[in-house]
Amino acid sequence: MSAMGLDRRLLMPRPGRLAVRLSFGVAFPLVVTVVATARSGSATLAWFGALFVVAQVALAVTLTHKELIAAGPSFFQPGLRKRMAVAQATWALGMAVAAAALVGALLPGSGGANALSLLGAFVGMYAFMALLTLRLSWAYQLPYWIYYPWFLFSGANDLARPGRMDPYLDAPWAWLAVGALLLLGLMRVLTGAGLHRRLHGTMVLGTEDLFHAKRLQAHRQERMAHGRPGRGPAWRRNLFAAELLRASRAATGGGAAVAHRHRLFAMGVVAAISARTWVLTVIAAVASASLVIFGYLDSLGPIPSLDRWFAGLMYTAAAWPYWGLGVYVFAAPADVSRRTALRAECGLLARLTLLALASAVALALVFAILAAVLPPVTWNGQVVTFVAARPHGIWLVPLLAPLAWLALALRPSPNGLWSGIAAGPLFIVGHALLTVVPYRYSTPLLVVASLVALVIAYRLRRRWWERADIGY
Amino acid sequence: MTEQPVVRLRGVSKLYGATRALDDVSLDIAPGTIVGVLGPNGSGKTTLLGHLPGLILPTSGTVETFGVPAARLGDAELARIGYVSQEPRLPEWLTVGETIEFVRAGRDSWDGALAGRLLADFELDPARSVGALSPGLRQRLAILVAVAPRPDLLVLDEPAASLDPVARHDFLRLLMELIQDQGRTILISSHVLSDVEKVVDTVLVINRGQVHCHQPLDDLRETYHRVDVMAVGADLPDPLPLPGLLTVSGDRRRAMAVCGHVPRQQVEAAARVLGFEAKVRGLEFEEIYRLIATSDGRKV
Repeated sequence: MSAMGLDRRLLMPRPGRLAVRLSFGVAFPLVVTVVATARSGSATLAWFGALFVVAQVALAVTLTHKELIAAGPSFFQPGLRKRMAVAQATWALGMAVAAAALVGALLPGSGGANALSLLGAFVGMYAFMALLTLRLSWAYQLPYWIYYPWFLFSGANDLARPGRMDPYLDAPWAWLAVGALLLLGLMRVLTGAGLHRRLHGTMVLGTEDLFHAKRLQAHRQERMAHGRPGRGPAWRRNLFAAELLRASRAATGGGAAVAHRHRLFAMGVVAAISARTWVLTVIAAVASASLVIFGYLDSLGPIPSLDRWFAGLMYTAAAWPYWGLGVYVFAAPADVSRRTALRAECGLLARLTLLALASAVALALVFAILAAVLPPVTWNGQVVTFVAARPHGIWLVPLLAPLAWLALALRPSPNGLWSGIAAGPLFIVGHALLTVVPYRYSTPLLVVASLVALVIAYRLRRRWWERADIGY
Repeated sequence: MTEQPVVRLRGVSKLYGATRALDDVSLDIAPGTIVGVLGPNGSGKTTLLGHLPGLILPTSGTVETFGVPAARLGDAELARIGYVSQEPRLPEWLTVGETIEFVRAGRDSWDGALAGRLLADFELDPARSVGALSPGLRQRLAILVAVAPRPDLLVLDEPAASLDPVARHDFLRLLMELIQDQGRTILISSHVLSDVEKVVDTVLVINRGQVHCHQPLDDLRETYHRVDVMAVGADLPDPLPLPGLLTVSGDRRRAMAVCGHVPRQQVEAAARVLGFEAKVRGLEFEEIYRLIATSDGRKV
């Protein structure tokens, strides 16, 4: 391969896979942006939609470059780092021009937005997302997660009002400076040895790997292989040790299934809870801020009594144990019989259901306390009150457990993260439907659906344990 | 004038959390040396080898490769290094042929004839996807792309671990051939001592992060001996007054001793003076290795 051939390959890395990744992140928001902008005439909407598209393109391209960096021979490849930096800069500038052209095409004169501001913002967004992709081991999930802020913004009618963001977009030098600084940072990271050293020989996943259970498991095991059980904050270590102690006691007492359940739970602690204290601190801070912000935002919605954000948060929190079920039940080494493994899985489901219920109750309590202590605030000339969410729906949380189990059981092979990730939004949608239908109808309906799901999921899982090839 | 070492480590320690993977390692590797890096599992071999191209950075101490700090190796120096890890990760989405082309780009020293021959010897199909290769075939491809640029420094971390006996034989033959090139330095870690013995001229034994031995293989052979002793008249003395005595087994009439760190002539002379019958023989390499690796921190 000539140097030019290498440049071409870097500029269009894995074309087929890149197209798949772009189709996930770009096609839908592009359509929504075009339609929404045409209807509202909002430059802000067009700008934000284009920013989202740029972010998704940056994620797709950089993930593919990251895969190449991780390949063993790349570390020693002369000139590769500089060529990759050039390819990234080309994408950043190309996307900035394309996105600015898109905004210009949607609205005459870009709706009054300064063209240089747009270029600076798009370059900055590309570089920022590329840096994030190179840094985070779970960057393959980003194309999925960033849909949340996008939907949030799309729903924030006030921000999307024509002219609302104009003062911010009329500061071209500030945007250009931010864009240039971020792009320089990206160049520096790509040409330095640190990134290549850190990624050398590691496993890099793409967004499509959310559907590849085996690769997800391998990735998780590679991450866990760094010996995390004994690390992290004391409560995490104690939780892990306590579960293993219980497993040991149960095994001594002849309770193989209970022992296995505790071991699965111990592995789940390692898999689900980061050993890095700063990560946990960030998650706690984001969760706390979200609670407060969404509590206020609820009152801004068209139907405040629906408690959308509360419901979303509650069910997302309630759903997290099922993520674990989807991953570590199948990743766990089985030195027990298939029958014991099935019994342990059922026991684990019961325990996770209780945990989900407890987290939902705890969240409702936190909401009630926040509602009591937080004062009304004035925002944009409007008095906004923190909504005291009603604790309705908490009893529905355990009823959703069999449905989550069924979702896992319906996957023909060992499950990946996808079922777990899908659980959160599904619960939100489910809750919305339940709140539209009066409770006297929706509750019995859910009870019946839940019982049917429980029976089907159990039968499927039993058959899986009896017949499936277990890859360990 | 002394030739500048290809690799120089001074007081290198590496900590992973509380685990000390390397502990105050200092050594020089001269150009043209073929070094066998040996040690039990978890002894620090991979960590040591990873330091040479700057893939791993020391917690303390300095590592220089080609006279440049390993953390700051540039394109020119990195292009002179070939590296094969235990479980090589290759671009799975490329074919074998594309992978070779990718690595070849920008490598002036690429030996196309050698690459072609290895492709045939290793039975690698250029049209096959790398992702579809078995671990053994993937290892063969990793060896090919590391060796074909004819690097000045070749670092092989358990390169033959997943190779079948025939491929391992081919690989050893390849190593023998590479050794013919004067000036090429090779570091190879392996648990298959019989393979190592065939190719290396220097042995580096590491255990618990410490270097227990860094010596030419011939010197080791000349300084480790098995002595079969038989009493003539009076019983054998206890302990046996042999120089460099490491272990003894047997009884008062007949014993088998192992002596180390002393020339053979010195052991033979001591046995003659003491007046009992003694036969001094060289030790198998595996026995020497076991003695060194289990010497519990005592440096040889």
